[in-house]
Amino acid sequence: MIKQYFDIKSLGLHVEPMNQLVKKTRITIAGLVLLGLSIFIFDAAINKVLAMIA
Amino acid sequence: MKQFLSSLSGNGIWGALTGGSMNQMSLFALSISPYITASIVLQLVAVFYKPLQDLQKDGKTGQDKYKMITSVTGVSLALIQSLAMAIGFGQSGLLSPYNTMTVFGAVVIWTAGAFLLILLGNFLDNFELGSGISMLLLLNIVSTLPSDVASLFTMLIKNNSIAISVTRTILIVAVYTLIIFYCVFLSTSEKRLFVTYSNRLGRNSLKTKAEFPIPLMTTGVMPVIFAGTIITIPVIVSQFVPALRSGIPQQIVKFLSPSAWFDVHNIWYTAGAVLYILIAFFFGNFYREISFNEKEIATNLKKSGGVFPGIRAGKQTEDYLRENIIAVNRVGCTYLLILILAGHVLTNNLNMSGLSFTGTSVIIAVSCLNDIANRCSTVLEFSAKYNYKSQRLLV
Repeated sequence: MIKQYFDIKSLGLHVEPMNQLVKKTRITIAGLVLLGLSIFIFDAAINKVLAMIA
Repeated sequence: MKQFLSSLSGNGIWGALTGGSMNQMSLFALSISPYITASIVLQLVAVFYKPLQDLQKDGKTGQDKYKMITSVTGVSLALIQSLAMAIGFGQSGLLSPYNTMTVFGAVVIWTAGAFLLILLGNFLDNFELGSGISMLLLLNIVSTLPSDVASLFTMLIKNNSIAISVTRTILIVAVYTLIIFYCVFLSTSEKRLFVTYSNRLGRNSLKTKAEFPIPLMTTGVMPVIFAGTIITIPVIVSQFVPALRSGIPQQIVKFLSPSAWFDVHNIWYTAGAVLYILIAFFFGNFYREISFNEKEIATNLKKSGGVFPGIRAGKQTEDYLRENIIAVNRVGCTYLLILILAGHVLTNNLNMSGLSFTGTSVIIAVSCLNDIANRCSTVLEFSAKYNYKSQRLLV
């Protein structure tokens, strides 16, 4: 019974080809890193400006 | 106040969704949680209240009206939530001075903050890169990344030898890559049911094939959000009620606290995870019932001349659809719970329960990013084939 949950063929699931999954994973990681870095830089800049004003 | 709030918002889904904004008690302390609550409430109400159902299906005008009703409900909920918070904090001695003016000021500021974010979300919708609220949710989640990276560095890498630091860094990167790959697999997999459409063209009949996709994450992350919210209600209440912080009530609260599960030193608390799984499956099924109207789908298919091969139109199609949606939903819930519980195993045993970017927040962030990436690629593909000046298709 447990096996039927993990046998993708018998479940009839359409899974994207491995190269597509890897490509999307790379795009997601790049997006997360870029967004995270932008927020970090923006946060640091705002804190610096607030420190100058205070 | 910060210590008290970290204990509430650091754990569970609301910590991730608000991006830790509750910790700062800033203008955006409530973040977009009132809007999310309002959309869930209205979705539930629409099951029983037909005019709301009709608005959702009414085309652009109806959907704009429905969006406005959701925004107004969100602001009303923000008002109620901020009033409850201000009074609760005041009575616990965390809001000083505790008087009418302070409570009024706090309510106005927090409600205004939630209202501004709802307006911003609606404005972002105009760019047609996905739901504006999803984008704000994504930004909230991603905003916790820098502090999570700093926490991981401090806990696992700092003050260790170079060999250990490099090995641990590689392991952390590998684990997160695997988690993101798994989330991409979850959000892109689907079961495709083949539909045959037969249309009459004069004396001839034309048969076309199409696919009816059932996404693996049929109900999205709603089952784990509902389960997580319900299971942490006693934990939150115990912060305000001192009587629940000793004796048997304290043990019950610990049993329901996700940060106590899968701890090898106190393994019996893991029984709370079993309750969590049961609640998640229950809500998965409940949400599927209210999101999918198999009867309506079968009726629309019949009207447009579509049939599933070997299945008669009408009741048989409805049953066939229901059977498949239930099966895919059950599998999707299982795979989602594996992700969430694996996250708890890792964070609880490595003493990293303060990390926000785990489990539910990863899957939400990955789904939002994938959605935005797909829309951007569609827009770019279309612009490459369409000459905007002459308004002609080039290909």
